Amino acid sequence: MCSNPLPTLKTIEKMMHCLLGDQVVTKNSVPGPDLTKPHVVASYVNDAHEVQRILVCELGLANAMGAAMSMIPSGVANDATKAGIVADNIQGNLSEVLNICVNLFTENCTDRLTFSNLKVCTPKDPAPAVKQSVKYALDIPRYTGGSLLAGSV
Amino acid sequence: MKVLIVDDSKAMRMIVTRTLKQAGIINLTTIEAGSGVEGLAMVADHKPNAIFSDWNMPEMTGIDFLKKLREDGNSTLFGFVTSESSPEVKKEAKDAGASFFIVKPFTPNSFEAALAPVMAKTF
Repeated sequence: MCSNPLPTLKTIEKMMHCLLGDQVVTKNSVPGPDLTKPHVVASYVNDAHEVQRILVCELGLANAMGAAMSMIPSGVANDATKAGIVADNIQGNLSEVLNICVNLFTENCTDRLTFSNLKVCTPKDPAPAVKQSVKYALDIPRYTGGSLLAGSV
Repeated sequence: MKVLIVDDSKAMRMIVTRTLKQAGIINLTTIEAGSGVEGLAMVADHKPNAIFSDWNMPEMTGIDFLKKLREDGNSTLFGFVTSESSPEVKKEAKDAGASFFIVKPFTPNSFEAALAPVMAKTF
C-alpha cells in the first residue's frame, strides 16, 4: 500500500501556480466536488498498476485547467462543460496537467506513482471509494473555478 | 543553439520552448518531436546541440530514446523534462547519460538551475 501523504493546500497552490500561473487562487473546500454533476476522475497507479491515488475534479474546473494550460479561449471550456464533456482540443492538455499532478502525491516521497488515465464520469457512475481525502477549491482567472478532491484508494 | 524538444504533449513542447527563452538561452532554435521514435529521426536529420525529452511517451520512452542514441554513438547533450521524480528514475537517467533532470511543473528558475552547470561545461 502506498504511504505517500495526500497533498496539502500549500502543495496544491505551488503546483497550480507553476502550471497555470501565479494568479490561481487555492483554498480549502468543505463540500468538495459535486458528484451529482459530471466530473473527471484521474487515477494514479503504482509499479504493479494498482490504483493508489485519485484526483476528482468538477468538470468545469477540468476544462478550465486544460484550456488555461495553452490559453484556449474560456468559451471553448465553458461550452464543453455545458455539454457535459471535455472538449477534444482540451483533452490532451488536461491529460498532461493531470500527468504532472502526480507530483502532488510523490514529492519528497518514496513510493513511485504514475498517471494512469482520466475518465469523465456522470452522476450515474458509482462514486469513487476513497479511504482518505482532502478537498480544495481553485479559481483560475479568466476561466471557471471549481473543486477538486485528492484521495487515497 | 538548436534544441530538440521531445514530448507527446504539443502544449508542453510549446511551454518548454517558452521557458527556454525565459531562461535566457540565446540564439535559440527549437525543433520538436512527439516520441522517441520521431526524436531519433529528428536527431539524424537536424543534428541538434541539445535534447530535452519527456520520459513517458508512446512508441518509445525517453529513457529508451536516450539509450538508443548512446548505443549509436551519439553524445548530444541530453536531459529530461518529466513528471517523474523518484530517485530511482533520476539515477537511471544519469546512468544512461543524461546531463540534467527537470521535474514538471517547472519555472524558468528551475531551468536555469538545471542548465547552468551543463551549459558552462558544454558550450
